[in-house]
Amino acid sequence: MAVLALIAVGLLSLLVFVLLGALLELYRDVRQLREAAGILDRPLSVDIGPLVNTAPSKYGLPEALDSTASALLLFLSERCLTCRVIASSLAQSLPPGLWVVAESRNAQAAEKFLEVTNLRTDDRVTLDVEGKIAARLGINTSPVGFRIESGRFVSATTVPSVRYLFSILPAPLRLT
Amino acid sequence: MAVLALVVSLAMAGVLLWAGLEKARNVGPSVSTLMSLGVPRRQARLATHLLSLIEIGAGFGLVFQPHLVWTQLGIVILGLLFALAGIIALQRDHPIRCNCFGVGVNGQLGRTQVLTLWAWLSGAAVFYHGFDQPVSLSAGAIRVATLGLVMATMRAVAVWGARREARDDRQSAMEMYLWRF
Repeated sequence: MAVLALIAVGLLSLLVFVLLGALLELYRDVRQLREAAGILDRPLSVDIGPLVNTAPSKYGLPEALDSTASALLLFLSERCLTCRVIASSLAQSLPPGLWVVAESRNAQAAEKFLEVTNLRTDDRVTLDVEGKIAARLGINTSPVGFRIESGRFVSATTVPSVRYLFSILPAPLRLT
Repeated sequence: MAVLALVVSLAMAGVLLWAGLEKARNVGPSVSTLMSLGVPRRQARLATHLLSLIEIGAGFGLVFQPHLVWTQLGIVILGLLFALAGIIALQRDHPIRCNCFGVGVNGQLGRTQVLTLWAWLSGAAVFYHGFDQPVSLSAGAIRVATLGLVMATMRAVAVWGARREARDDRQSAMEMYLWRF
């Protein structure tokens, strides 16, 4: 009896193996479709070679960033849909450690962007009208998240979603 | 020697059952591989079905009847077939996907199959010398249950990872396109 039971366990496990294989293939197919449609949640590294170890204020960014221990500078553009979605998610208040630069073609576009997304302007939100800061940084894609540590640029990646943004925010310092 | 034979037979059985079951589940990729090797489509389909049967048969043979000469001969024949496929692939001017183990596990057909021929032949020799008496049914039952559970668990881990990635992609797409469910 026990022998039969063990054989049944073995055969059923192999059946589960086959069925899970079909499921795995389905997930891979869906990912291929998402990749073709350009809606994958995959961040890409952004090359910021000349910016590394330089102070943000050098490019027209707030001087307070030069003395911050750890921060994420999020670059948004009023022309980008993902940027609007991310900006809308920040409408209530900016999480600690997050700074935002909203780039726009002109003042009217900047105003419209703020109106549509309800992004509140405060000392951690900078409006980059006519894209001057973006040009100095050499940015031609958005949204981009710049990691700043000890007041210096360290690295940058694209930010494909709100979920990813919140996963890379610097953790607040805790005194224990 | 007996312990070595036991361990090697279980590992080899796992490899063969994995490959055979994957081919049986989805013949397309293996048919494609055989066609790249020059086999006509109809014959490639037949050969894939046959190969999957032989691999599954050899796998179960290694679990329940590793002492049988037929099982050991099956291992040798499979090793030679894989090596032959590798040699033909090396002579092609374009890389040929192996599709040996199904979804997500892929490599090129060629040198690996030729080099692993010694492993198949050594394994058959180990079984020939290591199994001087038949494996009992209860031992075989324990082996098949263990193998099945290990293979299912490995697959489940891969599915869990793929599910997590898909969930993140779906959440991202929902945000982007304001989909509502």
